[in-house]
Amino acid sequence: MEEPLIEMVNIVKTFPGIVANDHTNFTLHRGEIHALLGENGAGKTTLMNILYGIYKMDSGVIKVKGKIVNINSPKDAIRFGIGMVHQNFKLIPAHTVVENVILGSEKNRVILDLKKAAREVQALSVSYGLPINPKTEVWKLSMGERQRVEILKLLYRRVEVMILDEPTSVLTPQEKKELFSSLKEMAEAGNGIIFITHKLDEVFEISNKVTVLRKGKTVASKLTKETSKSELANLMIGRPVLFELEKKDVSKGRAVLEVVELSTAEGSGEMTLKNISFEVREGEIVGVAGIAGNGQKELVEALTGLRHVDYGKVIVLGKDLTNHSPKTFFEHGVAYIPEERFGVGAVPGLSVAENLILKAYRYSPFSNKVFIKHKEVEAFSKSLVEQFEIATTSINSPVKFLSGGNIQKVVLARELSSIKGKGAKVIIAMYPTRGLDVGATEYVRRLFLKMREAGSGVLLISEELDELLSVCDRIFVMHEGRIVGEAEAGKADVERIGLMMAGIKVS
Amino acid sequence: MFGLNRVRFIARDKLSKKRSVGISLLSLLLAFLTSGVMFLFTNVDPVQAYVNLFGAFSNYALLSEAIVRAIPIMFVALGLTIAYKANFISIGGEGQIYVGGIIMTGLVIWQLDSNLIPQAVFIPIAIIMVFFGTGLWGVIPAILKAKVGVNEVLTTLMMNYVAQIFSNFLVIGPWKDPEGHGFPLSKEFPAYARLGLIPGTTINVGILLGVFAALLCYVILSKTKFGFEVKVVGGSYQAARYAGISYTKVVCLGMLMSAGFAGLAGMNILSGVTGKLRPDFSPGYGYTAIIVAWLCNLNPIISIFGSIFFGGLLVGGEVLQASMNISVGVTNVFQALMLIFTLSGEFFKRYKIVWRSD
Repeated sequence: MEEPLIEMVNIVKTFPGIVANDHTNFTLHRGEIHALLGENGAGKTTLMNILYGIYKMDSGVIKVKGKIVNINSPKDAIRFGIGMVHQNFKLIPAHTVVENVILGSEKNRVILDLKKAAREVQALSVSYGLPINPKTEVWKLSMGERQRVEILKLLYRRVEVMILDEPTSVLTPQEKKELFSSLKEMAEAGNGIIFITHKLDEVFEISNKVTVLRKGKTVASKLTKETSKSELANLMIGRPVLFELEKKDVSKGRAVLEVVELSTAEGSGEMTLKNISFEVREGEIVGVAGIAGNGQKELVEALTGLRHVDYGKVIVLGKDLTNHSPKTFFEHGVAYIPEERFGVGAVPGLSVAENLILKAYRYSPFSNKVFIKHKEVEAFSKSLVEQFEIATTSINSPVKFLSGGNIQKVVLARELSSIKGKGAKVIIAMYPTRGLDVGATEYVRRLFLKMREAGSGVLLISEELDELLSVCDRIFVMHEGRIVGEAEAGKADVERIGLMMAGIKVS
Repeated sequence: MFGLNRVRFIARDKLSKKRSVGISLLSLLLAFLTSGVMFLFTNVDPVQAYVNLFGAFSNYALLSEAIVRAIPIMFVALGLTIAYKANFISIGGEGQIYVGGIIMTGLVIWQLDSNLIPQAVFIPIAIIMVFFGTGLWGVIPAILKAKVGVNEVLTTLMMNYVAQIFSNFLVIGPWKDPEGHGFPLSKEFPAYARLGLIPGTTINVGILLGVFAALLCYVILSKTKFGFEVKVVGGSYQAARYAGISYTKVVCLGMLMSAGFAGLAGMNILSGVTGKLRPDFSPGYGYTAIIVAWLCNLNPIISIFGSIFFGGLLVGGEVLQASMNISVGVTNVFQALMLIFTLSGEFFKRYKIVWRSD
């Protein structure tokens, strides 16, 4: 058999506190359209950024056509025939198509022959079905056309391996169809295409091979025709490995959070949340399952005052807080553990103590009208560091020097402590265990169970079904901004939830 | 090429105090060495040049002059420190100096006509007017950034030209002293509008105000709720939003103070030194202060000494020019080199270099 175009073996890449690629393997052959499937944070983009020379791997081997290579920059990658189209296009809007295409290319080193280049671009665009006028300025183009320019840039450099990072996210259905037919032509010409996606439908529409990543590991690599949507969904999300967590019976009290027919829209008019209704009661943990990017972020932001609600109501402890400020929400006992703990949940450059009073600094006893009372802050921080077992050398060391798990503990300690004498009654947590090690993960889950026993209501957004099943009382499934199903955690059928997450109708 | 593709920068996990100070000192040393090479190219003995350049610190008269120069630098640097802590990269100190000068001169001219303010409280009232007047000027780029997202570096820089040229227009045109024999100077400030000297010295009382402002700045930034909000906004805009802190409020209030302090620098030059409005009355103090603020690690107290150091360099540069016939531009190059090396040093405090073997 012919040598594979690309072989990536045992790739390891770590970021502070997170293992993005954990001995990941990936192989691409000529003529393949290879879908790289996985949830957000599974390590797909990181792996491809390594192949394209943007990130440096910690260890592992990359072979191009059987030869071990060292790729230190995108320039190297292009030299080895590898090109990438990023999610955010890297074009100069004021320049024309052809100027963008030739920018930085090895040809035209000394004398710039724009006319010749334009002819070449025109020829490429015709032969691969990527219609574009080379003399138009890029700012006049639609997103789909800009993507064509990015692809032409790579074709002009004669790459044989083209990496496309979630290429359909900016396209209209018509543009998507055109893109797919171009990709097929390129593959038939003997190139290899890597198609990063988390959408199962697209895998079956375009790819002939699929590799699934989960938590940085390669969990499967299959011919597309030999697999099914539900199998891929399970691979992507992972079979439940149930934690042994003691879940006491807690009587459910009144509703602490009520969401009534909630809808939101983007500036472009596209609906991101569609008519969502549910409630969370005292002593209850409600889970939201779903593949990332199906409206979870919008939901959480709408429930914490960070996003404008276009229609519907958010009621906290019986009080209508729709479209109130984030401050009003946390003053009413809504704790929020955001998705990005670094830079949103915690300010990296500020100390542990300062992060612990990030919201409460404005209230007694931490300050009076003008001044912060450092003594009170210190006593408070020390007690929280002890209570939440935060491993830090001092309450004054910057949070950025802590491990991911300890940063999350800082966020949790702050959010679950009381503000203005009010404890957290509603806890909204988004991917709270993402990137944490087993110990920290278990700590976080136990903490939620403890808050549940203490009578708080928890809304837990997670991409891990085992987490939801072991902690929650009820689980909703979100798909494309809607709630598409609901299950009692005790009687939940993993297969069924997986199918609903993939957008497949289940009776 | 040149083996550069084998160089990698890796973020440091931790930075010890020792290493931090070491890198800072090394940066300064490299700046001296590089400037030394520059001196050699201009056929000047570097050692002699440095002796002259730092001569300001060995001689009482020159040191007094250095401190007088340091006062406006100090006010602007303090203001910039507040802005930079909020990650608002203002370059507007120079223009704010001119706005402060314009407001002060306007006030004096109005007072000469109307005599409405009791002379004993004229200076305190002027301080308040200049502070808030210039402060409002500083709020303009803050609002533009917070509401429309206009880059503050551009707006503050461009507003410098507006302020400076408008100031020059006033002194050549409407505010020219009619009895000034046609010179482009305003009327002489009366004694009650001048800052007195500290008894027994040639240093005006502005230095006391400057030190007081530095302490005030320190207290605001490290002891108050507002200072905390500034730090959060500067640390992460998104975290500030999450914590319910208004970016607009923090940046506008921060720039009000930032420009307010810089305005006092302009007032200090006119009331403390020149005694009247002149064209181009600031020799770039507003830009020097940018260097001071960063070199002093955005610490208001250290900025007091940083300003005096740079005041001394300015005086030393003039000595250099007089004694060795070197252009004052050389001092500017030296200053710039110190900034470049210190900022590069900041980078190496955060990253370490690793050479990869292929």
